[in-house]
Amino acid sequence: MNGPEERPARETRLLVLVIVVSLAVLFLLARFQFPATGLVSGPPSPGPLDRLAARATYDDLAAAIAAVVQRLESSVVVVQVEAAPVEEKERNPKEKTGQSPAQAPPATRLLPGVRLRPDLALVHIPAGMRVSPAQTFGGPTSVFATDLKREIALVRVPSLPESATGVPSVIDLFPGFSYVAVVEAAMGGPTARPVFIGRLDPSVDDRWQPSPLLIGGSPQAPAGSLLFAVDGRLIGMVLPQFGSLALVPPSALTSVVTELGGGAGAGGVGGAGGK
Amino acid sequence: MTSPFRDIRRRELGGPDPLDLRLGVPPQTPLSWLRTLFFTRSALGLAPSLTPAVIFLPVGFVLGPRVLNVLSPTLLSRLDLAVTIALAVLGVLVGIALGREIRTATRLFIAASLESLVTIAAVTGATIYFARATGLPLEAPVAVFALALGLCASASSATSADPDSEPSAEVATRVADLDDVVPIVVATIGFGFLAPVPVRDTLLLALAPVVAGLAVGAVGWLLFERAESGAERAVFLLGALALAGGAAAALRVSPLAVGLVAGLFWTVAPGRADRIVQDDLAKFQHPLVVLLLVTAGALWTPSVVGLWLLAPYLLFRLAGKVAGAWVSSRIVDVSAGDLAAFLVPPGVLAVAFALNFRQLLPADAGDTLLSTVVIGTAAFDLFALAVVPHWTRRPA
Repeated sequence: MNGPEERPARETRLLVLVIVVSLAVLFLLARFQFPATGLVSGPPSPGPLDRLAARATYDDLAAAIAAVVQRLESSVVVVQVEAAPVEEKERNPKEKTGQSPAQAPPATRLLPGVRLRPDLALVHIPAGMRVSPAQTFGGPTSVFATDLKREIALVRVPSLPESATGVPSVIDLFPGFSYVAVVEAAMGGPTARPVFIGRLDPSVDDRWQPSPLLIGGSPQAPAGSLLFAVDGRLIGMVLPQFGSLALVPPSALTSVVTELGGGAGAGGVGGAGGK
Repeated sequence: MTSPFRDIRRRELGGPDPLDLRLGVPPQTPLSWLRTLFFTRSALGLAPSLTPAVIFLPVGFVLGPRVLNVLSPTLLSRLDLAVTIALAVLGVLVGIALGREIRTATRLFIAASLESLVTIAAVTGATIYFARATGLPLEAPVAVFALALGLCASASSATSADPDSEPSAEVATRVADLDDVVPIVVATIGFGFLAPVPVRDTLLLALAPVVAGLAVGAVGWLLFERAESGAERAVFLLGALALAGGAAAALRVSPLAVGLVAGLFWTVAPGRADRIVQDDLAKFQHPLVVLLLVTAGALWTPSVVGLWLLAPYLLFRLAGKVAGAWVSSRIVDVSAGDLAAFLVPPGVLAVAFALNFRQLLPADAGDTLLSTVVIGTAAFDLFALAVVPHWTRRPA
């Protein structure tokens, strides 16, 4: 029994068995698709040992913000906008109501766009401005759709290689009273700074569904900036509303992308990129 | 009468030593069996074996930012350089082992390399297929990520053979020692060519660890034997290792590769540099292993993608090790079954590879890779408790 001559045959059988079982299980598991939605929405639930965790220092906050910028390199694109030519301004009803020369927007600005589909990013376009055709940041960018009413545009951005979608994970129910990373655009790419967001009040705005949240207090996040949690999840985009600034949540942004023809669901925000 | 409980003797405290065996050991009770299983030298951090990963990875997680925050993100980012130096130390140890074995045991080296290549191919292929079929968002090129996972999977822990153990155990141990060379070399060449840089820079990137390793090796070789005291020599050694880690960090190349070349240089070059290094490293080796494991545990990020990747990693690492052992057993005189069982525990080197690739891959992809390898390492080390055969005495 189990003599020396039987052992190699037994080991070969074992090898074949292990390989067959591994292949069978792999093929079986590969029939499932990685879930594209429903992975990350909602605030993170506190861990059972969270109360024991030491409080973060300013150094930790700085490190967390730096880590956020590193994480969202592929999720945020820098878009250059410029003052629209006169004929475009005439088509823009806001311009007709008049802005004094002192209020005129600067000739060019850099704004952050968030990648909501693997090849589309959403960016705030201030009234009287348009996406600059001479795009130099992160390759050529073309406008896919513009929504003057909401002051946003969808721009085409280069897709990332292979399986990297670049679409960020999201927090759809941001409760406020928390430090966040305010992401803005810089010459070399996105940059961020920590800001405390206090009270958020619901507003009624039929342009967005769900409605944006009015940011209480003196806003420290400029229009067009993106808010990210310190764990790198998208909280929303800051956009002008009723003379103040409001936080438009990711679900409202992604429904507008669908409305503008950017396709629905599968690769959308909080989808494949979610972890 | 033989005890129903197996004697687990791999570098452990509590198990019977050779003198016990000659004098006769009392029959094992369930309690003493548990003691030999868990109360080990490895548990105390005295030797890198299969148990430290099981102990120190969870310790690191508990101390990390997600639980107690003793190892805060700031501290972890500051530990990055220490981790790089620890990786260089592991590279030196692999290089010294290679330098010694390559002259006398070429067949063993070929067998170990074949076993390693089979595992790399199995895990890489399975991961590419699985990621594409399921649409896993890896946030890095699939081929690069899969190769990194395959390289991590190829590592095996070098459990030390007992002086009284049978020859097959000794052969298996040496194969496990030598199978870490191929992944380091493949990582150096592969990542050099896969990096998004022009071809000219690619060659420089692949050659940089070799040049840096040779420079560190030459510096150490000139200094170590001329030291006037042990303390001075230790300072020279620490300086050389810091230079290896620092050069690798500055050039963004693998510190394992830089250390391997330096270790190989010290072994091949005339003199006693390799013995000096090995003796002095014995003082730092185990704390550095603990540092690596605790850091990896603290950096562990719960990730759905990481959990999905456990399927190809666990299944095909096992299949790769069994197939690799089957191929290698044709070259060296050892049973394929025994060899496969000894190669199951990945040990600290798998975690070291993962920490190294985490420094090179995009942030999310690096975290996912580390997450998979950490869980996989702990799972395989626990699995090894059941499958690794106990050492038996060499027949008289």
